[in-house]
Amino acid sequence: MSTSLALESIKPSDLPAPPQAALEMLRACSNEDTDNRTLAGFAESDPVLTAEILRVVNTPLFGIGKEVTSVRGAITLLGSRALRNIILCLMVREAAQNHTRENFDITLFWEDSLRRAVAASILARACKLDKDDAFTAAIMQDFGLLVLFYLNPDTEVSYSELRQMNPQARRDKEMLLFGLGHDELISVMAQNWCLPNELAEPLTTHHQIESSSSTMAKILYCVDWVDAVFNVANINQTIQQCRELLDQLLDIDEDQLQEIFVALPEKVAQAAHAMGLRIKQQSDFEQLMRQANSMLAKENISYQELTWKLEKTIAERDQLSAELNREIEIAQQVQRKLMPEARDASFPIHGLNLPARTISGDFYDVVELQNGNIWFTIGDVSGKGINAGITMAKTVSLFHCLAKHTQDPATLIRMLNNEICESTTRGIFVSMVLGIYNPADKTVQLVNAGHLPVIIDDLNKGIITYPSSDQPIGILANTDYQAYPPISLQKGTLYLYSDGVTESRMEDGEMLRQAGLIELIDRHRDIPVHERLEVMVDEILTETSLHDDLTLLLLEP
Amino acid sequence: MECSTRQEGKFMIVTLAGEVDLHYSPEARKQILAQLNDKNHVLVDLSGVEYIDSSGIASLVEGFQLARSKQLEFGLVGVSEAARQVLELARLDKVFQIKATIAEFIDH
Repeated sequence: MSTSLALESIKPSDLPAPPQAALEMLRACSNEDTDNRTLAGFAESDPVLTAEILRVVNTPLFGIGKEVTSVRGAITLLGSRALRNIILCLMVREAAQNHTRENFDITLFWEDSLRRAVAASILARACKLDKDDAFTAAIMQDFGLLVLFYLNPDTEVSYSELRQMNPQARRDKEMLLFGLGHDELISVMAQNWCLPNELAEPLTTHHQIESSSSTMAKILYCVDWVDAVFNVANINQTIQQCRELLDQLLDIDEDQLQEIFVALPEKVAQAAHAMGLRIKQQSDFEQLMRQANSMLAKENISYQELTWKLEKTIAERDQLSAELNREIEIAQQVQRKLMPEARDASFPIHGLNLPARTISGDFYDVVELQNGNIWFTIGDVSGKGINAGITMAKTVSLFHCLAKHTQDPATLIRMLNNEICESTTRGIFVSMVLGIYNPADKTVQLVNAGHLPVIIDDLNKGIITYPSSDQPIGILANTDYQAYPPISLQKGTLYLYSDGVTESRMEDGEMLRQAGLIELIDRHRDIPVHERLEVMVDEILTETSLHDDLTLLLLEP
Repeated sequence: MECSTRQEGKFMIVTLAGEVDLHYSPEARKQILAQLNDKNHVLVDLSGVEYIDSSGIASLVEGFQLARSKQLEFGLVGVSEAARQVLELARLDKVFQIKATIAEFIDH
């Protein structure tokens, strides 16, 4: 970072100054009492300056039409003010050539200065101000920046980098680099250069337009933005800012600005020729806009692509989700099919399964044997989801198949255990009760493998429970299971249930538990069995939402 | 749920505490299986368990099955009342080796 400059520490001798003859001419031009002959006399005392003035005056920029051969003739035709402006521009040119540094590309500087100058003269005409004053002021506008670079030879940022910023950011960066803005420096130079107030004032205030009443200062601020359009990366945004500024500050509309942009390249080349400056071939505005539009199109395309990809991903996700839902629905249908359909009131066994998730880990089944005996089972697979669902399907299928080959509960559960042990993973096990009902003598034989206690509501003996006597199936192969001795259901009803029933939360937040279920059984004892099942489930569900698979099975002769 | 491991004698002690439910049992399972796969005898300390559901029990069952296949020791220690009820209800007390203290396993 360069050492920052304090304005008061800068001595006039540090700054570029015009040669004595030019300075005297500038003074004379500013003095209303000086007549044309005296003024011409000053100029002609410096042959080089005279030659330059005549060369400039005779360029198409001034459009005089006939050749001017003397300074006096030029003054007659253009006036002393125009002569002053020509001299100032020539002085800036000379001073600039002698005060550049390596990191200050003078060609780029002239390109910017001329663009501002041409734009300023067009805007001045539209605002009914002196176009030559505007041209000259704009030529001098950033001269202070050149001087700042000159005074700080080690500045880490080059002019070509700085000009790529928008005017506001560039001014902030200047303050950071130099501790001083180019507009502040020009206020010191104004005296050295005998600048008339109509130029000095806008030059020193063009970055404080909020507090400045000078239209010329506003023009200078605006042409900074006009020039920036040709230098910054984000052309579209800068054009938009430019439009807003010109509209607000100078009442210049979009079409007028467009005309300025279009006219600039040719007029800049003309002005460069008039001032004897070499600049690069100017890109025309249409070409610039084509670049900007293609950039915009590219951004739009990538935005559209992104939107399109996002939409596609969402559609794919929705499709996958729909497919998965369909699969789950099918799995649910298969599961439902694995459980028995509702039977009429005369059938002794009635069951209901309500899955909390789409796939249930609970199950129940009934298998009627040819001899009239009926197998029944209820079970709960540990864990949830597809894993549990598949194990449930396998257990029910095995039960349904193997039950037809035996009438002994202990044998059947042993067979089931060995089969399930072969296929379960991740510690999945199945707690289940299975039993066989003999309608002839109304007895059941059952085994409880790790399941919740079987409840028998006996009209004579009251509630009797048959807790698990053995471990669940699927844990250890070749385990021996013990069946309970035959139980008479002459006056009794058998209740089998899953933990979805006993762990249902009641209105008070407490679980129903076994005691709650028994109380429910007690209250609904007199309802016919096939209706009782639904009444009990309805009552449980009116108090709670379904958090777990809920299965209930009743056997009443 | 909190889950930590430490060594005591020949055993790696996996301590489960809090609620061992569907949400947390995968972590319990991971810890138990990792120790067994490293050929460690494992004791699961359940003294701080306030609730355990069937997915938590499944993690213990899987540990039991893996230990058995690898001929490693696997036991439950300091079983809390909440865990004990669940284990006894399903008669899993017939499956697992359960002791009150680690010392009882070490002295065994």
